[in-house]
Amino acid sequence: MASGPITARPAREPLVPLSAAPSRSLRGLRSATRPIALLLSSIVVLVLMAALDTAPAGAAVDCGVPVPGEARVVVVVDDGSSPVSTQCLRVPLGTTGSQLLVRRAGLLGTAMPGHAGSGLLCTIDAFPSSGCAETGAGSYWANFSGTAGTWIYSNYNPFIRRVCDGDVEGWRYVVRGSGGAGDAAPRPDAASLRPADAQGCDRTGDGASVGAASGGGAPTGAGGRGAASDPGAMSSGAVEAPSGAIPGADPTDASSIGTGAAAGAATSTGSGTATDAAARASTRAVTSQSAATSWIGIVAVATIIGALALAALLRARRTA
Amino acid sequence: MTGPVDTVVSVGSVGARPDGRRRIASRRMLHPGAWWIWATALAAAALRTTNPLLLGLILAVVAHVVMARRTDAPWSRSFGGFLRIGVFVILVRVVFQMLFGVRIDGTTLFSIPSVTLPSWAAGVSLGGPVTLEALIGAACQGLRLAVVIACFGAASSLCSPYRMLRALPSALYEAGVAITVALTFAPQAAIVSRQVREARRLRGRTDRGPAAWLGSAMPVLEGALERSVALAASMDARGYGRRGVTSRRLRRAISATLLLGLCAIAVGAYGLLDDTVPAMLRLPPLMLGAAALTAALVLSGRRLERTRYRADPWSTPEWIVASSGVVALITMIVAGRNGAALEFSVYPLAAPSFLALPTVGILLALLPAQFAPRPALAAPAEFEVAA
Repeated sequence: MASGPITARPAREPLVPLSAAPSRSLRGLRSATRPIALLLSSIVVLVLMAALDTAPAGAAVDCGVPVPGEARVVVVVDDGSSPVSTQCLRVPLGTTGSQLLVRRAGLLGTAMPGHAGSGLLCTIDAFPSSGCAETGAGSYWANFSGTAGTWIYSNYNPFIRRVCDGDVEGWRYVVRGSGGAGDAAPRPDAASLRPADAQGCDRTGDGASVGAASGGGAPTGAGGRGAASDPGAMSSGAVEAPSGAIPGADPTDASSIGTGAAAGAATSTGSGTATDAAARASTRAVTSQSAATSWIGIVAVATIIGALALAALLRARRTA
Repeated sequence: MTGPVDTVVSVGSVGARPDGRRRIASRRMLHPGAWWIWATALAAAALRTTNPLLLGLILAVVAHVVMARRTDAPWSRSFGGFLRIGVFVILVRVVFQMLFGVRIDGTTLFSIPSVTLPSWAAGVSLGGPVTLEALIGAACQGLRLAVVIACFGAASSLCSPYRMLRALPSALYEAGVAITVALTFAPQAAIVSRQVREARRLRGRTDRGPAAWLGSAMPVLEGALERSVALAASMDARGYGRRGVTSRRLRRAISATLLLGLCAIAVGAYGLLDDTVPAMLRLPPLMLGAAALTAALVLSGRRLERTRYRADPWSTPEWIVASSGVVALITMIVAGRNGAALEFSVYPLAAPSFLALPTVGILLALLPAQFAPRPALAAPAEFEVAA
């Protein structure tokens, strides 16, 4: 198995000024040179970092030291074509597998996981773009546990299953799979991912109650405790603008910025799929911008529905 | 049995009269095929989404058009019944989610006793905590089915089943009885249910509530089937589905071609729905089936000696109605291809996303409320005035 693409180096300071670059450049050529220079230099730095980061690929993900009451969970998301994303999350003990994915999306700034009405997980990081449409064809996100050192196909409901310290969670997008243990596992080697000092499920006392308490509110808080304990993750809030707003940047660069800025998401061996990552990053920017117009649309549609229903009701009364 | 039928059919078919053309053109029955295309396209659009905004919009559009353009024929009252079936479907889906549905994390409303299953059945759950997310997801899935039912209810309350029978391609006359029963059962049920309710009221019993429902279900079903079969028999006796003079060999050839075509289309349709079957079993059988059906149609149509009395025209209003439904479906498909979130994600719970393209497309399906001609009234007086 190719275990190349795993890294977890967060990109730090150079990213923050980027968000200001496009608006300043409007004031004229002279004042525009500085942000552009800054932009170019930061691209160079990021490319260098990405190049350096690929060197220790395959090494264990840095999760920090164990803290009582917290679980360090390595989440591997492999859509089968793009570079594998490997992320270590610090979550309260008792967090469920689904809450992990929500936290991961909040931390990386990617789209929230999409679940169908039946609870079926359809999309992670907005992949596949067709949503739940392909599930009928046997293509789906398969859940694996890599805690034992090999990937084991999971039959458990991730909404219920609670994680322990040192767990390795794998999500692999299976194309036309059988829906059983024979389906393709995540590409990285599971054995290399587990923190050496894993504490396992030491849930004396508060484990279950913590899980129940965090059930309602936790998923919406982007990052939460996990973000706070990881300094690299602090920049995740400022991610949206720059990734979509770099004019004329080479797709490879854009992708390394996009994922690099997203606080330590793993990047990249295959450069062929870089455009895909760039596209995803720009989609992310667009969706955040249209949040306000979306609410106007929702209210408008609801009003139309109400008006039509009222008109139909009145007509029915009149003819009855 | 034929009371309301006769009046409506005769009034509806004044379109061919040379005099008073404008007056007649403004009030006539739309071709039933147009309504069925419109409704089927909207149902197909509803099947592609669980977004409650889009589903609610489709439902509102369909209800509005039905109320604007239904006749006062007995079957036109059936739309409310279809809506009630839809509500029932949603309730059943929600209850099943509570009992056997996959447990979804989130805001727990209440818990029901659960059974712990062995590890090989870990994906199945019986009972357990019931969350708001799970209920909303189940309600949206139920709503999708309810909207599909409402679409077909709209078609069957907007157009006369008898005119639909007339509009059928002649090759299908071979299966005359079956098709008559299939097409007229729902409208007949609407007529019978009204009669049964009236009878209950006359006897001094209530016609509301579950008791009335249980009491009238059997007579309604039985009566509707009886009336459909009686209609089929009388049509058969009057020569519906009769062939002209054909040799036995040709007749057999037509039947064999028809059967082959239908089987091939069934295989192809299954292949389209289930993507795991090989590609060879998808498009080729569909095309083979379509070719065989066309051949059968042409062969049998040539042999059928049949004239049309006051044929339903297919003109601009029919094109507008049919294409407005198809446009709604196309916008839904295009939006899905472009990665719009047609699936309403229940976890983490968020407001349903507003999708401009399908919204506009579905609103276009409102056009029939304005552009379909007003239905001819069933009252004989109106017929006289129009003539």
